[in-house]
Amino acid sequence: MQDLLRSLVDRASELGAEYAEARLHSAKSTHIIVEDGKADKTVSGDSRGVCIRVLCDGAWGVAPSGSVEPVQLEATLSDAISMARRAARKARDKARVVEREGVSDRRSCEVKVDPRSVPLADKVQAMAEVERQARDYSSQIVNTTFGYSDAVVNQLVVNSFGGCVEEEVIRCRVGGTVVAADEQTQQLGYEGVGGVEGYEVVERWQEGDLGVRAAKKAVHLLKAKPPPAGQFTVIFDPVMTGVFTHEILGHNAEGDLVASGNSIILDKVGEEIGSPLVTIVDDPTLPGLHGSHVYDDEGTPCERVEIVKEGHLRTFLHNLETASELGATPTGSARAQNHLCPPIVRMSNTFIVPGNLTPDEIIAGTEHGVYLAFSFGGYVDTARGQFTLRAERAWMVENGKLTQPLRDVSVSGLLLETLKAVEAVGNDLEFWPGTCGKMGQGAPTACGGPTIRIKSLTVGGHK
Amino acid sequence: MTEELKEIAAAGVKAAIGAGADQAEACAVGSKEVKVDAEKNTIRSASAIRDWGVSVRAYRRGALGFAFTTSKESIREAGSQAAALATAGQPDPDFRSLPEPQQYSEALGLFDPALAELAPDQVVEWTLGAVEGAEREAPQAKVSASLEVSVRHTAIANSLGVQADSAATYASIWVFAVIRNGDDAGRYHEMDFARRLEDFDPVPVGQKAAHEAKKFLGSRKAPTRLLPVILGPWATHSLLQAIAGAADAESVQRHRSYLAGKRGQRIAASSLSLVDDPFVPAGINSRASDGEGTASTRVALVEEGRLAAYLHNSYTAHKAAEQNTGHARRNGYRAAPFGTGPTNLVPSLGSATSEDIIADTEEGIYINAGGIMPNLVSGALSATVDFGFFVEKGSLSYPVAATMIGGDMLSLLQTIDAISSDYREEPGMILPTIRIARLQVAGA
Repeated sequence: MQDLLRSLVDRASELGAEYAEARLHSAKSTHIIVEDGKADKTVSGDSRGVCIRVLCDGAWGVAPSGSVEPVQLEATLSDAISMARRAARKARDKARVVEREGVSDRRSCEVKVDPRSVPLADKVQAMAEVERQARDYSSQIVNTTFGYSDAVVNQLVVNSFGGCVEEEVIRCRVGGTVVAADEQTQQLGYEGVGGVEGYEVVERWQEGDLGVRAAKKAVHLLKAKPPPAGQFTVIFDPVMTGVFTHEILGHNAEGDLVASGNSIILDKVGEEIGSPLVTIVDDPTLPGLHGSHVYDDEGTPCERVEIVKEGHLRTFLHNLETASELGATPTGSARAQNHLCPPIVRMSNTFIVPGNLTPDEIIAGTEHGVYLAFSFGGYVDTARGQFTLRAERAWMVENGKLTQPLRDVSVSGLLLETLKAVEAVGNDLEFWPGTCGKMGQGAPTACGGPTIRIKSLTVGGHK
Repeated sequence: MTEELKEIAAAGVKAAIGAGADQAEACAVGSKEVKVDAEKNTIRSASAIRDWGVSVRAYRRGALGFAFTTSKESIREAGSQAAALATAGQPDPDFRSLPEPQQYSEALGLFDPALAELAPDQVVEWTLGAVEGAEREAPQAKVSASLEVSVRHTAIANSLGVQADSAATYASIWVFAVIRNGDDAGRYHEMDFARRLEDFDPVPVGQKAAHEAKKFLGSRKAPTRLLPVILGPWATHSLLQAIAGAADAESVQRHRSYLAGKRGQRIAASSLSLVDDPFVPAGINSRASDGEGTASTRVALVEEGRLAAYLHNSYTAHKAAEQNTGHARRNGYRAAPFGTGPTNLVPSLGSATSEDIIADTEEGIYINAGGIMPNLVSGALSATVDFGFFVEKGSLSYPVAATMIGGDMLSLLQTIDAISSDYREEPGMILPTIRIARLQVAGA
């Protein structure tokens, strides 16, 4: 296969491509769902294909193929070249890539328990037990939905720099939701664990008793009140901090959004955009996290990127093209969901570096505010830097103590105001696995941080 | 292509039944797409994307096994795998049967040969035309655009004899314009989409995006108080989706919907009625059959404020002993059908124009896009006004930033006090302007 991809790339170069890349992506996955006491849904997937990408006359042509037959791949290469030339005829500016020395390497993924070695029946039984523990927690539980998934992805990237990298990544996840109900309302609790790890993730779930934890949260929320509305001092737990970091800064630092004029911080490298307490890193080299990997999907080695240091914007995340356009070095941040999509700039494991305070100190030092814990996600409008974060649970904070529990709380703010308003950073770093959506592609990521306090954010309350 | 897909689907079903499944279904999809992207006002890339895949869904004692593959050589293996997965699962006595064979509506105009045979160079020309249109409107704008034209063939077959085939064309354009003024940014996105070439007008989308983007410079927080909230067409779209999404029978049966137990009850102002209509000619969401091959039906979801129906698939309909409405949702071949999804949502209209409604509002918030994304389990809303304006003395005043709305869906729906007579129309979509009498706004 390597020789076949190399021949395609070489042929592209002969036909005049400034850059060419052939990427074989194959993925096998298993997903088990247990709902309301029945482990009755099991899903498997088997996907394989090649994405050919060429840069001709300053424009990109992209063509994927679900077949790996040489005749079909040659036709796919012709499509890619043809599309690039069509685009180039109408392009005003030429795209370029940074020239790099090609890397050759082969990496397998080491996990404690390879999920492929575990019989399906064992997985089904384990998940049935996970769900039962949550369902049995309380008579107020009316729905439980839990899932286990594993995916083994193999990728081979051959490019016209002479590079040839092959990498296997194994990811496993366990997660689920619990709905509790009383006469007034019904509420949702959620838990999840996962990363670049093997079947040992199930053991990790059981050690944390996470099914019961999800159920407890759902029941707790039945007694919580809707939030107040307006500007409040807010405290984020580590999961909220992680989602905050991902949305408020991570996306705005993606080089393609910067290069296209769609980032509010596009002209601020070297400037102070945040509090001196804030240092933000994206690091795919951290082992075992959901966004961890060794090479990106252009064959560039991944690296730790300190995007913000003590409040100052230092750099962005780059692929070969954005690095060229912005006069930077590629950071190994190009990722594609599968063979049907070209790689675009993505985050990996993005977090705020921990500080010195304990979470208790941060809460105790807050006279009046809202403490938000755990997140159902968020999103950002990078052009304005306006973000929205949804919390699972919250509490009012009065005179340094958590008081009234709150539910259904979201917050909103603007990057250029909010990052400077971070006034306390805790020492309790945690990471949270997720799937980031951008331009129709999903990418496994992790986001993290410690407890932090922000002077003021809009809380979308009911009164 | 359709004949080949039908054969493959049939082979998948046969393999699953041969491997011990009680019932089985297969879905084979072949598609091709031309996509052009522009960034920073220049054409950047062009893609020719061909995709092919097949999935098999097998049932054994009610347990589901699902397997998909992108390899034509592996269809029998996928069928056997699905049956093996179903065998490994725990029984579900609530499963009764996959759909039985039935008649489907005649052609809905979802396939346009002119669009299917469109030259890729035309796609490039249109994208460039939209970018240039944006620049003429706002020379300082940074413009991104994406235009795609696709053809998709689908064949669904099951072991009871269902055979549902479809071919559909689709075109869409999205343009995003950003105008910067120091640390301030006015930005907006516009779009157009269609099943037929005659319904697709991509080039003016650029000018519209840039025109609106200029209006969003100078945004600031709105005051925190109870205010009327006016939903523009796209915000109305998200409100209607929030009703239809919670009317999913699977979510209702599993206690994951704020509309559970509410059928027959008043959930909205009596001025609101809502129909799910899969038969709008060339509608974006029109279809003769759902994701399981059940014939589509038109459903009155809300009648003068009363919740009239839930949307069913074969599983939920059997479980509830009700008629299957034909709303099973399937997103391509890589995922099993899950829950239900609406088709074309058609609301009732009022008598005042959208201009009248705004003019009649002394003070309030107008939402252009976004804003109505509630928690579908609890029905609570705590959401950001993604694009909107403060309304003062009957006119749109300043654009708002970091401004949120909060409330409860059932209360919000019952305080609708105006629906416009005019509307934005996209193929299959009727999107009027709707005013909610009062909602908590959070800002400064």
